[in-house]
Amino acid sequence: MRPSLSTENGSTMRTLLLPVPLLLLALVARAEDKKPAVSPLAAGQTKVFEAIVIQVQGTAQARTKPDQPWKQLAINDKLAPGVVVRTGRESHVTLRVGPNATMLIEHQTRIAIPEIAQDGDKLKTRVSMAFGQTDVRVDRIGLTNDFEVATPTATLAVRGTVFRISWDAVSGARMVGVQGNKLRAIELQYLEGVRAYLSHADGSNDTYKLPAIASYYETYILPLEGAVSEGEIDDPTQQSTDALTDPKNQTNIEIAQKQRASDGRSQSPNGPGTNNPNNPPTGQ
Amino acid sequence: MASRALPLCCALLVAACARTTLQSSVADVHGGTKPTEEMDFWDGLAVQPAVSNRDAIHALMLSFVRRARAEQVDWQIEIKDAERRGWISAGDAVKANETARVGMVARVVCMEANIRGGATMRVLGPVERYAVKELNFQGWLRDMTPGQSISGAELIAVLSKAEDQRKGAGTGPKEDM
Repeated sequence: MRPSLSTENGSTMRTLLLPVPLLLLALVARAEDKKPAVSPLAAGQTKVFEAIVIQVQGTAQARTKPDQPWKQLAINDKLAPGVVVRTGRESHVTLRVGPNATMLIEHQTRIAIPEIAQDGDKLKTRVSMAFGQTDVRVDRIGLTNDFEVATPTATLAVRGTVFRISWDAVSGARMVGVQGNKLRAIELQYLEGVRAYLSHADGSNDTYKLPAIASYYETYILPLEGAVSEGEIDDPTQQSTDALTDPKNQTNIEIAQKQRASDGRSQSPNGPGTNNPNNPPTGQ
Repeated sequence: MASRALPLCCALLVAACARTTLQSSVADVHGGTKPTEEMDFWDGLAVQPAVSNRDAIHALMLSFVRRARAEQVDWQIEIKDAERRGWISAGDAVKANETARVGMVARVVCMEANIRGGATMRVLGPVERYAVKELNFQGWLRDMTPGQSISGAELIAVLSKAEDQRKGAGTGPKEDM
């Protein structure tokens, strides 16, 4: 039996289709891994980067100078070098730090990022953690990574790996190897939002903001105003017929017809020019 | 001569057993319920060499009750709340500015984080002595005894580990540097 597609509001279909753009993004990211994202600078030249907030949960605040007020972080906030970030209970924030690192700053953490810069062919990042824990992934992007995390009792220098560094007054500095899937998932979630934003999908009045899903719906699903579609993916005509004859949808169809009748513009629930033999239009 | 030394020794003994009283409390300064004030409270607590009862109860309330009790921290409200939750007994004379005992903190953490401990603690319940031993065993405290005072950074570390356990993050592989 062929798999049936979505019911109300297309949630099942969205679940089925969600991996498709994510897979595409992953493939694009994989293809982009092969070429250097940042070209080396001439000797002596320095370029300063920023950190960008790609995910926030709960209370996460930052400031760049001690006399400045703390500011609650939001997605897409840009943080200049010298920023101090603090997170509260049950909170965390994820930063993309320069072109080569991603940091997930966990709850109850105080961290400073004094330097994010490219110096010639070296990407220098300095992180100072007063206490708390942070997951870090440092990518190899073709340049030399010079990534250091300093804690009150230890300093960790990284060439390219995924790890969790933590420091507290009881256990001291600890390093734990972690899987980077969580960080990659956060990055993909952020990228998905960026792609939709760049395509101006958020500016449209489409129900489905993601262009790929909107196109899929336009291609395979006939618009059933007021009715709920249920059918099979390979036969949209059969699908729409099934939707009309399905007893589960009759109530919705009748409600939609009554609404149209009250508006004085009654028509078939399958669109203009189509009649439903089981439920003749009431306003004609 | 002996008649003078005896009262002096008694006075020294009493003074040695008394708990240290702190001059100020972080909750007095940063006791508000807004997010920034709460974060300022944690920042202020982190640099305290010893935590007062008032700050300890407030920190425990923030961590385990997780809701604002009032517009401003009120010691009387929080101490009654702590009594109601069984953190302290009604007869305990807990003074706001005295240093908090590790035993009290460990007992509350074991109760709220559902740490059941070993055989003795399962039989006797989360009494201070065994709560501290259990947290020492788990590495949440650094070989402490119930009567010691606790620093702000250590209190934050214990509460952070409790949150890790609540989230299920404390079960991964561990490698010390």
